[in-house]
Amino acid sequence: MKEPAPQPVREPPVASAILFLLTGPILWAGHLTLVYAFQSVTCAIGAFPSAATVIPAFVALATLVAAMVLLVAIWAPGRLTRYRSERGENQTFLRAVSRLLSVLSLTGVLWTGSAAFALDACGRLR
Amino acid sequence: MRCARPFAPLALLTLQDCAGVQSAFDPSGAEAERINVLSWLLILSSVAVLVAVCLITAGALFGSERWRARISGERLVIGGGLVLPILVLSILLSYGFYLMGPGSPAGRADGRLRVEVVGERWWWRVTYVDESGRRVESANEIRLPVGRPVGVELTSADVIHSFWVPRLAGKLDMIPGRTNSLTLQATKAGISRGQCAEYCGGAHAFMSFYVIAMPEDQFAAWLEQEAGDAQIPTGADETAGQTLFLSSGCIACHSVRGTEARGTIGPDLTHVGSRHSLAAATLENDVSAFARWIRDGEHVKPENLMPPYDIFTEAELAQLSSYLDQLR
Ligand code: HEC
Ligand SMILES: [Cu+2]
Repeated sequence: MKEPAPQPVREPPVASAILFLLTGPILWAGHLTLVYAFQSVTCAIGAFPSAATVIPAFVALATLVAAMVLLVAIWAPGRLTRYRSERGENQTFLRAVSRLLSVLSLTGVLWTGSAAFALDACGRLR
Repeated sequence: MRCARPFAPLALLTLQDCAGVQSAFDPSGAEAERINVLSWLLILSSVAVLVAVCLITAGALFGSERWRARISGERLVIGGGLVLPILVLSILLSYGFYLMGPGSPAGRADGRLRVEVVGERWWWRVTYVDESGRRVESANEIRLPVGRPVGVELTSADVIHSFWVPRLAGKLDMIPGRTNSLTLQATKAGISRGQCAEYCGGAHAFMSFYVIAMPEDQFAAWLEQEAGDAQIPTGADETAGQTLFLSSGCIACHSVRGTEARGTIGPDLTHVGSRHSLAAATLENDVSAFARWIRDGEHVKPENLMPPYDIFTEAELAQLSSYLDQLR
């Protein structure tokens, strides 16, 4: 006779763990895509005669918003994406990793944003 | 040889010869020098990181209790995973901004001389534009005055090509309908080789050229000479060769200034005899190479767009070749 297998600890789906872990990098990717696309398209079609002010302004705004959301993710992981592990030590580890990645992402977002002030808005590649 | 002596066996496999005319490891231009420094920095720091990671892994596997406790601490994660990359990448980013920004040392062309290069299948149309706006047509070779940052404007007549002289600068695409600009500043006199770096069809591999950097005064004299009309042939063979050239259809595609040859489909031949190579650095430049090219071009450079000519007798071919050879 086989003994009934011990009931495994029920964990939420892996996808939500990944989402929770990658909150920062996902926001970073979103910010980069938005800013990059706006700059390229604006310069390519010459939409605004004042691209030199419109682009830095847009980039600054997008960077500010992204940075604020990331700060929330760093202060309170779990506010943006929820994830609850049954095992206590798992939860601590996941929160720490998520935070760490959010700090890196915040740095990335600020770096991306800084380019708008350091370089020509539509500077041609040389 | 300055590079990679300790890695000589490896270098043999991958780098062949670090000092070649087409080697990015042997820079002779301002931008290539910066690229070289950056490359070595990148290679050496990557090696340092790799070694560190290997040591840490070894420590984790075989180290004493004390070492393993140290490695598993949070310090290493914060230091190596957060502080170090932020520091290193911030420095690199600032350096990048400095290079691309308005105060950039990446020599802006001084505007006295401009070189327009058009990628064609499978050769290079080269036009020098001097201060007075005078345009000097040439092909398949670029000459530069040493020390002066020269603006090079790149475009294409057909498909996408890419302009790359590793000893002078990074590569830049040549895109139909668009002009990309590059600044070339040779730091010493000498010869470098360039190569089309974007697959563009049949003879792509044979689409190369030489860049010859020469002292300022020699360059000025050369440009004067290049701007002039073709030499009038004197010898009997050469004169007969010119008659053949003018009557065999060559002039539908080629120009020789000072004669009735005004074709623009193929490379300008006004001073073809003075170039370092023939057919976009496919052949060395001498009388026999001209003969080979005219009769056997399809074998020398398969799929090139000049029709093969097997109508000439040996004697005619020799006359034609000596005519072209004296176009200096
Ligand atoms: C249909 C146009 C056409 C005709 C006609 C033609 N050529 Fe060419 N020629 C070309 C093209 C295109 C090239 C460039 C080929 C390449 O390098 O891929 C070329 C290249 C050359 C070159 C090498 C130029 C350089 O910069 O190295 C020489 C020399 C030359 N042709 C001589 C001749 C002679 C001589 C004739 C007449 C017997 C002739 N060509 C007829 C199109 C033509
Ligand atoms: Cu090519």
